[in-house]
Amino acid sequence: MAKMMKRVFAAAVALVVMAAAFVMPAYAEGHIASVLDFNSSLSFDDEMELREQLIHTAGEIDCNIGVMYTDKLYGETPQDYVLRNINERFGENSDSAMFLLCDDPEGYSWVQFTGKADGYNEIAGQILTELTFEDVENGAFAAGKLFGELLTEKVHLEPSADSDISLPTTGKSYAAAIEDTDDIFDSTEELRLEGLLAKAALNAQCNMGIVITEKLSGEPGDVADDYLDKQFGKDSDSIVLLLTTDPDGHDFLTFSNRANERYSGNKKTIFDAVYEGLVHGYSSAVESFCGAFGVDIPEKESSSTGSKFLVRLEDYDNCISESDEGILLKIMQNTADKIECNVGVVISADLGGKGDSEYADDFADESFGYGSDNVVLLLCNDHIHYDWISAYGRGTDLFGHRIDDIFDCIYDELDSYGYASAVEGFCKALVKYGANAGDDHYYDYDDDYDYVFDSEDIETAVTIWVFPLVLALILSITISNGVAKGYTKKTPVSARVYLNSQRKKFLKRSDVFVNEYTTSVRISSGSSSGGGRGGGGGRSRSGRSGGGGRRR
Amino acid sequence: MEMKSVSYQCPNCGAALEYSAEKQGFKCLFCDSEFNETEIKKEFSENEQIKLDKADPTLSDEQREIEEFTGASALYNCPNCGAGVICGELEASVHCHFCHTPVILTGRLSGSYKPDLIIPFATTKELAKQAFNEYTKGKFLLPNGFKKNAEIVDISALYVPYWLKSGLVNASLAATAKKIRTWRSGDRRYTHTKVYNVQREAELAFVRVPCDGSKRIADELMESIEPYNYSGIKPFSMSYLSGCAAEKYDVSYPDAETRLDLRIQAAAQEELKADIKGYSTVSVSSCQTTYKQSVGVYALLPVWFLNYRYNGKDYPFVMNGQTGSRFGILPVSKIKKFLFGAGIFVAVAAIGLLLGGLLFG
Repeated sequence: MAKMMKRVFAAAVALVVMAAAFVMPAYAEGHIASVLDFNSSLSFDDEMELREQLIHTAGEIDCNIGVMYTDKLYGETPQDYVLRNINERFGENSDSAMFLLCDDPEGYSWVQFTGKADGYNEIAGQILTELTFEDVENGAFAAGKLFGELLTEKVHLEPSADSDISLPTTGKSYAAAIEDTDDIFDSTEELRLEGLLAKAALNAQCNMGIVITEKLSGEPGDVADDYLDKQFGKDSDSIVLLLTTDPDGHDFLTFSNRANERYSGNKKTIFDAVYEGLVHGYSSAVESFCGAFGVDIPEKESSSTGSKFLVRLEDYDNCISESDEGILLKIMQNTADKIECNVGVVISADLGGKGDSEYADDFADESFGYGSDNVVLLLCNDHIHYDWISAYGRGTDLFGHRIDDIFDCIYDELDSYGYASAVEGFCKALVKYGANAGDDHYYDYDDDYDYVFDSEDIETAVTIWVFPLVLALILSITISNGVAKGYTKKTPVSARVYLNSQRKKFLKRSDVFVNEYTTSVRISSGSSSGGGRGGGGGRSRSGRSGGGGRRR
Repeated sequence: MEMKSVSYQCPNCGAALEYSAEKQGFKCLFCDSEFNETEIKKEFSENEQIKLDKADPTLSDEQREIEEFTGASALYNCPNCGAGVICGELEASVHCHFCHTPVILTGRLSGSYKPDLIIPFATTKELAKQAFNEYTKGKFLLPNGFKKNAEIVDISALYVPYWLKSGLVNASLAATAKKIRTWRSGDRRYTHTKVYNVQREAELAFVRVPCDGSKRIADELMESIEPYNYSGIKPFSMSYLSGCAAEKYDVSYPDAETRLDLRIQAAAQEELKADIKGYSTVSVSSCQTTYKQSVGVYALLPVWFLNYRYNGKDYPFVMNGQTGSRFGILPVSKIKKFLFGAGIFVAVAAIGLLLGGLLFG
């Protein structure tokens, strides 16, 4: 009997072990740990240490963990702010815990639990109180660490069977980080992209990092490796993508440990995806990078017309009212569709130390992506730099030689009616010179800002047709009459041939200055910008740009 | 009343002698004997001694009237055959209509009609014909068949009466001159103008400015074959007229002087204006000429006249008998002129439309 009991017990244990082997993965979830320091509350080392702790904590409590530091909520309530970030970073209805330490005078800190941790919202206030005291007494870093400790202490969650997060066999959490030194992304966009990157990290079962920078402190490979080591650790399984905005720089992909074994052979495929997305901007490049690791990229809201051409209007000086901005965006979209080119307008008095052409070119690259067909207008209000029109690709082909004419249209409106009309004038000029280039017909607006077919431009028709014909008629009559006149008359010889030059004597030569005066007329002027871009690091980019500027 | 006349006969055979432009001497029409000027003047010293003086102030009015009438008479007896022939009012050298002997009507070369100078012919009749043919080459507006159908009606050598005025002229010119400079700065183009009052005054010497003394010959026609080379001008001798037609003047010197003064003043203005340099624009406000000295002489200058007929209309062609400079009035085909103009129209229109499409399209 005892022997049978032993055998039964052994079989049961085996069954349990086998079941565990099968079941445990169902219960072993992947976790995301995220530290978002928007207002530089933490040093780099503190951020790394906090991230390590939170990764450990996330594994312990089977829950995603996030800590955010910010001093701007942009009008959102803290709860909405946190919930939005949880959804974007960890996914909707995910098992997550997020701590927001907010220095916004109009906001306050918040702790939020979601998913199966939702029940802990009852003690969120208590937790928040402790965290607030810790922050006051010991600082933001200490508060973040305390959050992890409190979760470990207070949160015990049952494993969830219906998680939509993929199941890493080791149950390990992976980190995701984006370092945007050029401030290409605003905070909202960066959060969203980090969320996608985190999913990609989970899918790839390794840490994921993306660095976007212009200034490289060394060789691209070294820079990428240094970032990987610092961000995730030398022995980590990690992938880091380095995208440089330096025209002479090279992009780079680096892999470490198991990520190197699995994915280094796919470098070309990954770069292809990144560059395909880069055509539409750096956001698309990051999305494409994540998509290469199986992340479904949600479709962005398209314009009401479903256009594939992008528009962007940035008024940093509040020269355009919100209502006008909406109308102008619609006009710009129509314009972009007509000329089959991205259209951008930026109004700013602060170019951030950049030159006018550089600012406009960078705005175009950031808005629409390097290499995209675009035309961007910079209206610079600092009275130092030029207003500038940057054009690339098709934009250069259509408008490269029309910069002065476009500025004329802009200034006619700006001088008379203001910035909104100036932007509208810009769009009209783009359509005039770009839509159906080569046709005789030009488009105009109706009251609903939709394009309507206008009658033939008389002035241009006269220039192209009538003037040459009239000139030809005049010349033909003049020349034929002149030649025929030579058959009947000859110019008489001047009596100067009978002058005895040896006896010529000048008696007086007088040149007396009377007066002088200066007149001026305004003419078109402009200059062209140009440049080339390149990249590398396993892949290089090249291109050309065009445009021109004018001082108001 | 008969007119005095002389002729030059070959000392060898007695046939008529003509001045040969080709030989620059005299040639017998019958025996081809040739004589130079010295030989002729020596042989015919009697003719040379015929006084062709200017009007004699001692003559009475009646005598002067007779002399002038003699000069104006249209009737002469050929010294060779004695035939009586009526000639034109202005002709001073003709051929006898009966024996074709060259006859010089001395009466028309005397008194105030005596030429001071002459430039003998240096080009031949053949050269004149050749010049006409060359002149019509390359003239693409000529009607088709012009060369085939144009008929040379007459080609003749004629000594045309000319007034030649020489003078020392004091010319003064006043003008407004400007120096204009333009440059661009930013989006503006600036134009800076400096204004100057300019004056020039010079003493100019004009030598033998010509004006033809014949009313029937167009001044513009004669001026178109200028200038003559005055290094070949010689004191007048009747012998040069032998074989060539000659006319006396019917435009008096005071009348010719008006035109001469206009030419001289225009030339003086051109000369002074050419001295104003270094300005963007020069605008002449006044120009005056005054003569310090002037003299006018009467000369006979050689011209070949060729008249041709085309489609029932006569066209003149003239050639400088000394230098060969030529000019003629040619007919213009209206169809060719239209096609030429149309071709220019099409070419210019095509270029203009192409440029307009590229620049403004």
